Amino acid sequence: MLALRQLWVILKKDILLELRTKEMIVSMLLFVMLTMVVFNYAFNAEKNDLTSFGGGLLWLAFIFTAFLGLNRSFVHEKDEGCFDGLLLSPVDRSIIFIAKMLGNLIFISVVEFAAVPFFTIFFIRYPYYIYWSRLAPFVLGLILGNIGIAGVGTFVATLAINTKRRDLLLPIIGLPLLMPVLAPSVIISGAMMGGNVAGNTAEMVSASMKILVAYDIVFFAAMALIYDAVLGE
Amino acid sequence: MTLRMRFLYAFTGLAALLTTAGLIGTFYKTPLEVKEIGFTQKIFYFHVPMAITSGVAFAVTLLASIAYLVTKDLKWDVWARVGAELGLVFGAALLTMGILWTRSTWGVWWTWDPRLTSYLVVVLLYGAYFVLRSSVDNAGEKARYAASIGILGYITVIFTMVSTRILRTAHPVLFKLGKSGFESGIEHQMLITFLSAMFAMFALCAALLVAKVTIENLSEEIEDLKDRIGG
Repeated sequence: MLALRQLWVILKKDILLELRTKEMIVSMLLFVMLTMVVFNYAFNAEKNDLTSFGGGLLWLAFIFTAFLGLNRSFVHEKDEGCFDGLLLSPVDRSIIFIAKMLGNLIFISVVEFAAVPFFTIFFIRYPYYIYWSRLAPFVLGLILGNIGIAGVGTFVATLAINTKRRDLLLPIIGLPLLMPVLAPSVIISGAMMGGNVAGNTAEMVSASMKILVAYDIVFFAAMALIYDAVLGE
Repeated sequence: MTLRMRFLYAFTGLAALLTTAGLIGTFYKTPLEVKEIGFTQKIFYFHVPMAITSGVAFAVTLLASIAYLVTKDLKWDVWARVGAELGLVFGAALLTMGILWTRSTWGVWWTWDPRLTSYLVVVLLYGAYFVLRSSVDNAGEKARYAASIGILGYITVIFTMVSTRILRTAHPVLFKLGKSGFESGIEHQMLITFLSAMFAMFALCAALLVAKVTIENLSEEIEDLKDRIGG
């Protein structure tokens, strides 16, 4: 019970901070929209049908947007000395990790769910094939992918912010660690937006879901376990 | 002579002996297994052992990282770093060999074959491991951060290998260097050559590991002595 209350207090602090400054969400929203404009130039979206690349483009935009926001989430903590305060407080380190991760998960998800409708009307060929049966796996894939990104991102951002190179480190360490998340996420989103998938679509999507669930569980457990030891005294 | 030096000489000798045996086997004793591919197929005898060895080297990093986080003894950090260095060296050699082989069999320098892809990710990941190390000054902090990536990195390696294989089932397998040759018992020479190359690479990796750790320990000792005499 105490753990849950501590978790909620840290999470509430992050949400309140974000609601007052709106720093992360606004920058991420602008960035994700700009990425889509870049896609238009890069692939000449006026002439080419990008439906079959939909999954890949979507996650390309999302992963870099997520990194942009994740770096911000620790800059405040570090610059204002808030993180040291958190570490000194009688709270289990794993609770701090989970609370920060949940906050980031919420912010990333808000931005992504706001961006998906725009992405669809920009790049996916009409008619959109939006069936309820496809919407559920699409949303589930998005959430499972986000859990992975928020978890690894929060963990690596904690390390990165304490180094000399600071936010430079998050993408180069985070991206390879997240490869096993990106591959299945791209397949799920792509298939659900009407793109082609190599092999049997239903089989590939269910295999991808399983990989995502396994990754999220294993990484979450490993990171929550070592977070305390990694932060040190 | 210390025990560690004895290990070093033993592994070095073993590596030299077995590499020679493996090379002789590769060039003179084994048949041209797949006719269409020709002589380049023989790269397999050293290619696969190198892949396994680099995996073993990264496993050393994983175990040493866990040991460091549990004991907070900096000697494990040295083992973890040297393991990652060797894994990278073997990985880079492996990728180079893979590119050459790809070129001669498929006519292109690179294909996004699951194995090549996974290995490229692995090499980039452990490259980032060293960038992280060089970004931290404090020895304890450096060791702790690096240990976490040593652990998470190995989990990623396993996930990448498994998932690329599951998700690319439709990928055409142009040829398969199956074990059928070994199992049938006809190609005894192939098995012997392969195993010599494998143990040669293991011995080489072990020798380099011990040598590098010894060097690191000695240079730490020198730094200590320098500090003591005020140099």
